[in-house]
Amino acid sequence: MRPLTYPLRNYGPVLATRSMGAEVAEHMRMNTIKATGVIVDFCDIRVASSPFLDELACTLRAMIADAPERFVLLANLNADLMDTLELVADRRDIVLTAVSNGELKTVGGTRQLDETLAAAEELGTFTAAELAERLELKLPNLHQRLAQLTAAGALTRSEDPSAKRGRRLLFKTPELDDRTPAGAC
Amino acid sequence: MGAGSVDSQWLSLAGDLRRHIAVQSLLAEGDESSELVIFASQVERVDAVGGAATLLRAGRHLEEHPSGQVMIVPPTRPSPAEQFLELLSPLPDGVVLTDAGSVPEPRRFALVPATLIPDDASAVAAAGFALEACERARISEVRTNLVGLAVAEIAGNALHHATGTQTPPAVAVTVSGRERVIEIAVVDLGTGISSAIDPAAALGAIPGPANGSGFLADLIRRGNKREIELSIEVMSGTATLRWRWDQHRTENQSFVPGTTVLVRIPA
Repeated sequence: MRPLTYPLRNYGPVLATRSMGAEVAEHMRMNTIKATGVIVDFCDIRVASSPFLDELACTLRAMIADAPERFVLLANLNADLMDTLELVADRRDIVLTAVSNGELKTVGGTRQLDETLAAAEELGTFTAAELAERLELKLPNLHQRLAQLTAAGALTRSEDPSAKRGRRLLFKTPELDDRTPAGAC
Repeated sequence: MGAGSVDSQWLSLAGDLRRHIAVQSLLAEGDESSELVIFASQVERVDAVGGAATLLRAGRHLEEHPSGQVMIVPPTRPSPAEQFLELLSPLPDGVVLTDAGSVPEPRRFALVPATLIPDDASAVAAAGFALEACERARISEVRTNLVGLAVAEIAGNALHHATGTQTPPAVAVTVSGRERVIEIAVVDLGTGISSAIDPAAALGAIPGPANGSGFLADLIRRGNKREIELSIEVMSGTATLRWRWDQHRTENQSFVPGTTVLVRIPA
């Protein structure tokens, strides 16, 4: 099933004020509950204020935590929006995931986290051990990054049915087709 | 200043109608008569604060006197007259401008004419209008975006935090001078800070950009990132906060009612 695109353009080119941010964030949350993946589309948004984005970012964090089996991406962020979102994410210690030309990039993440995401994209579906090998990292060092990327909505995780003993998690980055918002921008 | 008559109240303004002088002259006194005449023929200089404060005075008057009227006599000198006209057009119902010429299009001074902001949607709509006006005036995208955000967020903030008043805040945006400096003014009649025991302490508590998390700090930070050294002035009661990237200081001044936020965006 295709991910659900939530277009912010319905609210006009300026996204501002904390109360409107809270209103939009709640509407977004309520209307994406059943989606298998969510793309928040900033197409046609010129500017967004930090209080507005703060409300949106906090809601996105909660949405991702509530459903770690689906990814949540932000699309069509211009440089100005990216700057403000970075500022908000940094202050709240939140990491989110943006998609640009099909490539994933963290918002508010470190360089190491972006490198980890790039390696994860190359693997597509993987276990923690496979990614650790790819990055030449010890497994315990990778776990924190995987947790951050899952909390950022960049990775989904599910039980690996092929695990012969005990419990093993499979991580997955969104398919290329699932990174494009519905509708033209 | 105002001199009352039996049927109408006159408010005479002269010289400078900018910054805290404008707020003091226009908003210090209430109106007893239902008809208010703002006599601005001797005004020589006006800014975004003067425009917003004039509209706010008219708005407050019409709230107190729903069937009343406000008549504004514009400056006689051509330059301030044109600027005043740009700032106050279109006029709300119940406000009449005498001897008004036509508003020049495109507007050279008022990017956003003085506008009352009754709700969040109006704040965002005013910001959208500001973006379009800046584009028409060929203002850079970086400065345009700062203007849009400042209008929406400061007006929205005034709407929610201006206590003790029913009159909505007013916003105006101007561009002037060879360097095309942009000024955004939001004026409200809230008494939360202006009537506080120590307004200077209240304004001084607004967090600075180094560690601040408020919108004003963000605005300065964003400007700084794009090498635009914008400045913010907040006037309320007996205090003024003057704020640049690395300077955040309060001063005492003569009393002004409400709170006025003025953002200055240089080229």
